[in-house]
Amino acid sequence: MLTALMSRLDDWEQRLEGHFETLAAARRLENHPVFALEHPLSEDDVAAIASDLRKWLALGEALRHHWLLWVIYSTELGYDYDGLEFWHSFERRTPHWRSDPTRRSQLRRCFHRFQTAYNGFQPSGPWAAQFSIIAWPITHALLPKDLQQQLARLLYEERYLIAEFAASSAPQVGRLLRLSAHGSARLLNLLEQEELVGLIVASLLRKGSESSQPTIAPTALARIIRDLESRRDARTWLQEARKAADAVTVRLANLRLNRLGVSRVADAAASASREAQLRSVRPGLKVSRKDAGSWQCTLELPSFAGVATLEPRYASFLRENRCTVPAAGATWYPRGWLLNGGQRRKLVEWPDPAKPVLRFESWDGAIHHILQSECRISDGPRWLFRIGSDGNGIHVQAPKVRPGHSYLLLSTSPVKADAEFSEAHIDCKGVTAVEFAVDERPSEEAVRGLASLGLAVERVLRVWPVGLPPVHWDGEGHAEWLSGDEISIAVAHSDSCEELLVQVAGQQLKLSRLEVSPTLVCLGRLADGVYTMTVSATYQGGVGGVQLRRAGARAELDIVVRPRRNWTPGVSAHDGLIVSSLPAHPSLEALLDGRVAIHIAGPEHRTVHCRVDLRDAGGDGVGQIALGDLKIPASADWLRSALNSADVVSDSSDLLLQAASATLVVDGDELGTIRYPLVHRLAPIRWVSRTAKGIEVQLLDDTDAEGLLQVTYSSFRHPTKPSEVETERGVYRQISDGGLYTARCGNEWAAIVVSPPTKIASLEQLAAWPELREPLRSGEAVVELLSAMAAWSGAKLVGPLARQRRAIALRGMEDQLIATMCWPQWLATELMLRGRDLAEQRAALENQFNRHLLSYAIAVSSAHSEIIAPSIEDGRQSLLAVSLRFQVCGDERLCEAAIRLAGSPDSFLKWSGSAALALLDGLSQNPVLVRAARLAAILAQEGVERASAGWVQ
Amino acid sequence: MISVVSAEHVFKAAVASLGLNTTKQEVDVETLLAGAVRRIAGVRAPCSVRTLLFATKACMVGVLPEEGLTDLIEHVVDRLLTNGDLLELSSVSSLDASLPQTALFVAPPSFVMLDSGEALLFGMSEEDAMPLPDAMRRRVVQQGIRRLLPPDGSDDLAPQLRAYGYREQSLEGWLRMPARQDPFQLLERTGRALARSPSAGIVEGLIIFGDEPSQRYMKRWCEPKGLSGRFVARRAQAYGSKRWCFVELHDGQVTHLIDFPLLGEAYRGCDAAWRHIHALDARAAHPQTFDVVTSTAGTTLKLYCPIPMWAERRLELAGTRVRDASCLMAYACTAASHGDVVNFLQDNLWLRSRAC
Repeated sequence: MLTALMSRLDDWEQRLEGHFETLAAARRLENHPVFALEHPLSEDDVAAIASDLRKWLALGEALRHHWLLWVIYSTELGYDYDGLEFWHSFERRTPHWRSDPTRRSQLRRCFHRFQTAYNGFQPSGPWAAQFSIIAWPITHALLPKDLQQQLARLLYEERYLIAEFAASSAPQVGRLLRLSAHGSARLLNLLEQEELVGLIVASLLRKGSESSQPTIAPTALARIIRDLESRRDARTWLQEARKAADAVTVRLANLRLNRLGVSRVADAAASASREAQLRSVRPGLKVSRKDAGSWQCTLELPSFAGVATLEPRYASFLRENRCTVPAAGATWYPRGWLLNGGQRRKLVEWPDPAKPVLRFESWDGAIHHILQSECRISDGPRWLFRIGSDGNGIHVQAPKVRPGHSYLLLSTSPVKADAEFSEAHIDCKGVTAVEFAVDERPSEEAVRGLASLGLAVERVLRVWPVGLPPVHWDGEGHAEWLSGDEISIAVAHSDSCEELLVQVAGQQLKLSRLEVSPTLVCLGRLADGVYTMTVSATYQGGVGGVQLRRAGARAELDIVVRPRRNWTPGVSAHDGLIVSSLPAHPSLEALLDGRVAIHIAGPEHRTVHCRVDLRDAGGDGVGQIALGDLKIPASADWLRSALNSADVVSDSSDLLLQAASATLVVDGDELGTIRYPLVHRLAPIRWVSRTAKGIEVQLLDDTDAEGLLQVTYSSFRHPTKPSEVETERGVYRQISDGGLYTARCGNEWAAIVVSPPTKIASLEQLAAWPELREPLRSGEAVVELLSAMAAWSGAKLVGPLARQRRAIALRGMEDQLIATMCWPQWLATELMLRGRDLAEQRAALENQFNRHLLSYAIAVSSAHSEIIAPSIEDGRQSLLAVSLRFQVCGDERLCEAAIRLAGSPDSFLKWSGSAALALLDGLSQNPVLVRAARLAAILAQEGVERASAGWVQ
Repeated sequence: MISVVSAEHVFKAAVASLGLNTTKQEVDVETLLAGAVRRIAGVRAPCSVRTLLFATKACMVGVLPEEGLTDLIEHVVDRLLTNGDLLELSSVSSLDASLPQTALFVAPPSFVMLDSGEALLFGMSEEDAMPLPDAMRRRVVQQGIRRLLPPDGSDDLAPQLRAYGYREQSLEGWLRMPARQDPFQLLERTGRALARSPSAGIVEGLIIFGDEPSQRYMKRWCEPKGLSGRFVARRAQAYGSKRWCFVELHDGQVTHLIDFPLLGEAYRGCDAAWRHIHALDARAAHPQTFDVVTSTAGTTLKLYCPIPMWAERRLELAGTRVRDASCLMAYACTAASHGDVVNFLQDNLWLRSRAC
């Protein structure tokens, strides 16, 4: 029986070796990698092999005898991976796996061999580095089932951009998707492997294209597509993405065809399309009346989505870099800001026409060139605005004015005000303004006055878009349409017009014996590009009693035709609801810790509903955390209040531990819904919990280390005294003793504070206050205390009142730290004063300083808000300045250490690293400095938490 | 090919480029204007109503008769507001400091499921009034300002639309009906807010909606001269249309004034004002009337005074707005629905019906 088993496995192994050798040889020329999922086996074959491998394993055999079969077996499990845990499921489906603790490493060696033998794909990226074993089977599964729907949706949302670059290299396509990604941690992990994603996307989009060389074996691709299309949403998303890709393919094929015949035409078409995209990012200027005689100017920045389609690296650059509009203030806008539709900013100073209106945080030669050539305001020294009946003025490029219209003229050099030009106030530095109106029949003097400013009066010929509105029209000479639009133009001419000549895109139309005005002209559907349409009119002689100096008139219209910009649902642009976050890409943990400032703008006093949506690895909802309703405008602090007002985090702890992705949702009813993706990454080792009759927790371990797991428990009463506890991975255990559970495996660790439900009659019964007031005697002991504080404060929370009970434990530990670093008498004073009036606390604590240092204490108190500042550098400098003045301390780093220890002791070790002992030693020799920092922290009250959130580690 | 064309050709070209599907052979002017306003609003909003009117009119001069064009576009903009495509928002705290006090915004792509199984689409994205896959886009029927997506028999529309990023709004949420109140309750509540407001002093450009019963809405607006009591009014403001408010007068002098909408109310100022006009008339025992005209073709409701947006939405659901120069607005209803609509107007706006 054993021989038969071995023989069967050997046969499979041999057959598969042959298959992958052939596959690798075929791919060698183009250096395309091979994936284990590209095996030729049927479902039944895979089941039969799996059964035999399990039997083989029961005999205690090593994996290397049938290494290729183990690669296939684990890849198949990777294809079914649910995104939450790998090894637990693997071991459950593979009895006897754990009988040999080295099997995880053996499996890695099997994959290394696959990689060497067949140019197998090598996982890369931070996730692959952190999960260095399970990354192999999951990556070789190409697109595991849990990611198929998510990737299809992302492809749909980015279909126009991806379609443009579908023919680019796989890493370029993968990089584009990574930069546009939002979704579960699993999807983000996949997208880190840019080449892999590029290959998958190219294969998915080229389905049906017979000419394309398969980069993924047709059987594997068919399987993925079949599974993906089993969900209707995913099927439609993929179909739409393919349609977009096909449209680009057809366009490119036509270009190639043309190239064979008239190459110049084809090249010109490609270059014209590119020029149109570039031209479409020219900024606009608008003036609006603020109050009588006073104006303000707005810069209108078009979306850069079109530029992003020109080159993959442009898209990458725009998604990776923040930008600022110097003429509108010092604000830095988040990454990708220019891709979220057009933006408007009020100008505080007039932009230099020689410089781009935008500046990015990093430099790219090509982008800089685009900014320099397109993203500037037009040359001065004067800018003309035609005032519409809505009271707003649009910048008119052509220096022409028309009878019967009003204008505002901005100038860098003052224009002399007189009867024609009345001085106006413009709320923008660097320009002055005059307002004027052109009479229906302007006098010769008025015409001369306008001419002296470089402005001509146009009376006889007018051209404007008619019927289909352009997406941009400056009212005089510049209009923008979208690809496929049928463009119509109206030409108004005086009755004496004898002949009109219209020229555009190499065509011309001559019209004589004109009877009606306006004349409507259809330009048809122009290809993407930039055009100048000219209209020349010939007249009999004078017009309207005014003797013309020329026999004809000429009007020009700049036309841009460009592709439509894609819409991304849930993104804030110019809607009635604007949500912004600081930092721009917050994590779920930071959000729930109140370390994220969320601003919500919109119609004042409207109510919006805020929540966090949680999804599992497959993208299905696991629950929501309600953050409550709030009125617009919401200041940055609303989130902290929402988190504090109800114990939303503890109440949702089970959900949080199951979630693989999270989104902050701000629902403004008719105003729309803004979705802010929150970064949420699963750690290799982590706790999950469930609440049934009590609280049960389970430890999931996807680390590469085998067996070296240490779990400790610290009670609420003795938070600094951990004891080891026996814990089996992947098994739920009921928790009856509340406190901190910490699991450590190699360099990875995870902590959870469990608060089992208990009946309490008063706050005193909430948790026993830890008795930790004795000062510690050594630096090592202080490091241990700080380490415990870090573990408690970084732990996930489970169970009712977990946050409050943890706070009590942390307070106890903080007391011990104060007793040690500031001495027991100081702690006694602090304890006595807790809850008292702030002025009383200040006076009593200042008195704790020696008489000759009382002035120092008063100076520190006065400067407390500068010492406990959002910028640690500013705080450090403030404390140093005061301490130097009173000869307390001249060491800048020690000042920072004192502030951090006083304001954020749980993050002290993370900041100080290996210098912790030396710094603590320095502080212990200067308790006055620590007391000073502590005094500032106490006086800053809640400001400590807010400020310390911004202290960079 | 560049060529001289007729106004009719330009009209048809615009209809085709805007992707306006309609069940009728001929696309009516309202449908075209709705498409044009949506396209302009997508890229221009937030902006003032006048900006939208100005930009739309500029494209239609030469294609549509100029006479009455501004009124027609204004009517379409108003209907798009009623439908939910456009939002009129006041006091918007925004990053764009140049926004006027009250501005038009576009609603994000949204839908509401109707009892008929159709989805009423409203809202738009920046450069696409209907960001849907082509197959679904072709199924949408446009009638006037309304865009309806009928079910195709095999699928549930709501999950599909949600999957494409459309926001679902419940029917109740879309109707945005205020809680039912009698006119006394409503006026008492507003009266309390008015009494708390500081004394107003001289108010520039004030006109009030007088209490002389009349079927002609415009005729009732007058100067406050010599009047006493509480009135719906409009007051001038710099660079914008007149603001809606509620005033208390003593011998023509304003003693208290409060602006509509009241703080925290999500209605437009005009909606709040029109509701109060009906409440004042009902309390004075001469409620506004509307006609119920029954014929073999069905029933038409004729209204002579404006009604709030939420009431218009309710009427839109029950019937179809029809043109009728003899009244301010008219709705053709089916025999089955007109009874409900009559009750609705009587219960919520305290109007009195007249059978014709």
